[in-house]
Amino acid sequence: MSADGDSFRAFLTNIAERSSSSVALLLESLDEAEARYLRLCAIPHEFSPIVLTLLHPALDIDAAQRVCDNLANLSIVAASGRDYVLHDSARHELFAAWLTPPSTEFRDISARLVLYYEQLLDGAEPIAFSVIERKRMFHLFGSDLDAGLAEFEHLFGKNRREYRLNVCDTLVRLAGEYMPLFDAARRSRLTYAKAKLAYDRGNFVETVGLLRDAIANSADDELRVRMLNRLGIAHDALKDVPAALDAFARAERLAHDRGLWRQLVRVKIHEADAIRHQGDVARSEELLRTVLATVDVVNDPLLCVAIHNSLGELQRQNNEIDRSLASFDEARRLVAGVDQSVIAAQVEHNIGAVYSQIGDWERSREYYERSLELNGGRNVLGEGRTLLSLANAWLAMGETAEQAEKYASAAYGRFEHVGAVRDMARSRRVLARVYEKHGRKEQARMAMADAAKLFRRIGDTASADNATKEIGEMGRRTPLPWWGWCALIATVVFIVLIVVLAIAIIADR
Amino acid sequence: MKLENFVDRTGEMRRFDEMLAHNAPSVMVVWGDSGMGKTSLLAKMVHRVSAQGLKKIEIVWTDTRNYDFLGIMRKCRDDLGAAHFEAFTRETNRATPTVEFQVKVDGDLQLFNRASITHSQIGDVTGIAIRDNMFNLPAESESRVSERMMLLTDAFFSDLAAYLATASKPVVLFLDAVEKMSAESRKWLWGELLAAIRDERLLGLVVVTCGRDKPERSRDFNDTVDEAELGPLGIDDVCEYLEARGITANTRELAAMLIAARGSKPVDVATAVDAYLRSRPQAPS
Repeated sequence: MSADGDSFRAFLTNIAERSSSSVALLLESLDEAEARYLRLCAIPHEFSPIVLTLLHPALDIDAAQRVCDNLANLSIVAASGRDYVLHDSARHELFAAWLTPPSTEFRDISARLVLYYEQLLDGAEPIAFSVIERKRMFHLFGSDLDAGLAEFEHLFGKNRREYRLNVCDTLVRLAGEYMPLFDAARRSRLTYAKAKLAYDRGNFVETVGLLRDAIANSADDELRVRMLNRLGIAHDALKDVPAALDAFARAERLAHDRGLWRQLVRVKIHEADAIRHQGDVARSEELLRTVLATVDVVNDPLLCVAIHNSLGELQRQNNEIDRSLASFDEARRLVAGVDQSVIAAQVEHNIGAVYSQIGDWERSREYYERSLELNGGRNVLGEGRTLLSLANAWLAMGETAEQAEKYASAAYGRFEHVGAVRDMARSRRVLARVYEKHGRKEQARMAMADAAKLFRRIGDTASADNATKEIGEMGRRTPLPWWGWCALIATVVFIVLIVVLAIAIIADR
Repeated sequence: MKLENFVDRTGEMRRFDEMLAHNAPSVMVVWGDSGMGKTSLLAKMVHRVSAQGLKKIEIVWTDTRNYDFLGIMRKCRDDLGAAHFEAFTRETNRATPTVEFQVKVDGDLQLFNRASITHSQIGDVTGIAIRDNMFNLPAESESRVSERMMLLTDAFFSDLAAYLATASKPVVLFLDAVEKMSAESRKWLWGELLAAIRDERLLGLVVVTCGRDKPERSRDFNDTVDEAELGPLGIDDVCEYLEARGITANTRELAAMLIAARGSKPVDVATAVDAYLRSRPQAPS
């Protein structure tokens, strides 16, 4: 033991004079082959005997298993299920060494890992699929930086559309590991993704900061237009309309100069939104009209539908009924030319809403019903909203409870199906009003209590309080039944008789 | 640091044992820098729980695997037994669309694995996203996702509460590397799961979280959460560790030298000893 103590003392004296990291120290102490295995194992995030045979093709599976068992004795290696993982700090240090600069060996290993994970994708379970997809993307960066970046953007876009922000987070972190290899243009692409993520999370100040950096460093004009557009949207969200308009103007100039017409149209649509948010509805409309005049260039009928639809909605909100109907009619005409029944259903719904606004319930019902036909259950949420609008129309017409009840209940079912709690609460509220109107007080109170509970669950206390208030008012408005009136009259008569009797007795005395 | 060489953290282990015995506070939050031995401490706790025959759920965030709220709930369901989580499963299935194909072919039909939609998850019900353009088409938005999350969470809590009510011993949920958790998952963890424990809606559930940063939390959690910050090892701990690794002579002096040379983070201490033991045959005696 004393010899052991002496040798350890000598070892410590030796390392005290050096500034190398713990991992570097460990690598020096391992034999050459073992040190090499440890370095190789830092390329993936987890390793296993199979992965090790890809990292080092000279190893067969048994030899790889022995290597894994041996490495597992190190304090920086831990078993994780059937895999092994290196301690975070150790892996980052070892992985960074592979990137300075990346060797052909690193690229070949990465390419083998891409292929391996690609094969694993086949028949993988849903959750595993998503994880493997990310691993494949990570190693694609290692084998071909641009292919990796393209795959990153594809996966990022896909997950972002589905609002899986946690996955987007992971993708950004994984791509970020290759940051030392990125030039300014690639860095700005990654920063743009981060900015979009920050925007989705409502961190608009962070979005603006990230975009300013990325715009300054990007040489790709199309990307710069998109980033400037996003910058405008973020400023608009921060209610800084002058800054938003400035960003949009820069985006438009660049898009115009480079002939990026589709981008130009999109920027103008967002600019119109910002102007509307500023309260200048007329200028917003005017801008949308100018866009319409030039939109033919991009040959995108759906974009025209979107603009006409936006115009119609804008005019409806402004109570310009005739103009609103004309815009929606134009959207309707255009959408008929493209096979998009879900969008057509939406336009029909919006026309129905205009007629609801002016109290023409019969016509609004016609459009809502046509919207339901066109939708055909393809867009469950949209269908739910149309059903609810129909329930409201029947409620307003007030003839019978049956139809309104049927539609409000059906709407609730659709909203429940897609987990839209706010809409579930709204449909319960409509149902309560239907019940109340037709004298089913207890059912009305129960439905309204449901609505209040749902509103409260999503933190909409104002709507919850209003629903509770409506329950209270229902109580006050409740008429007495005939037997209630009889009982009340009998009580009053009884009290009067007692009083008269009492007065008579006192008078007698 | 391997489990058999685990040293120090006796205070944290004692508090954990008390948590298991008294069930209050029910949440332990462990944090500390990288290399401070958080995962080793967690492994020790997991070992203790297994030794006591308690049910446990372990969730580890990694660079490639990021559990969201649904992932956490699914893992709990799968580890405790799907049979106890019927309402939650029903709710999850409702949020997961079933896509049916009707294929008419003339001749042989070849089906490829990747031709089917196999990775459909919650969030797959999507529409056309045109943000803030007054187009009332459905889009996956923060509000819709959070509304769906609430329905799923309510169903999950209802099943879990029923399960815990029938269990005679506490159930322990371990969450490791929570610094890799997304902002959304963190919000769910504190705003829903830990809040339910605080409000005594999930009696019998003990949660241990391990991460690099001290979580920001409101005072409402003061009675529910026990916090433990892991710092570097003391010299006594390093002595104990050296002895556990077979270096038994002059340990105090050697421990002091080791701390002076490499610091006293558990990972650095352990790696230095690994390096020594691996190079020992060549080292001068």
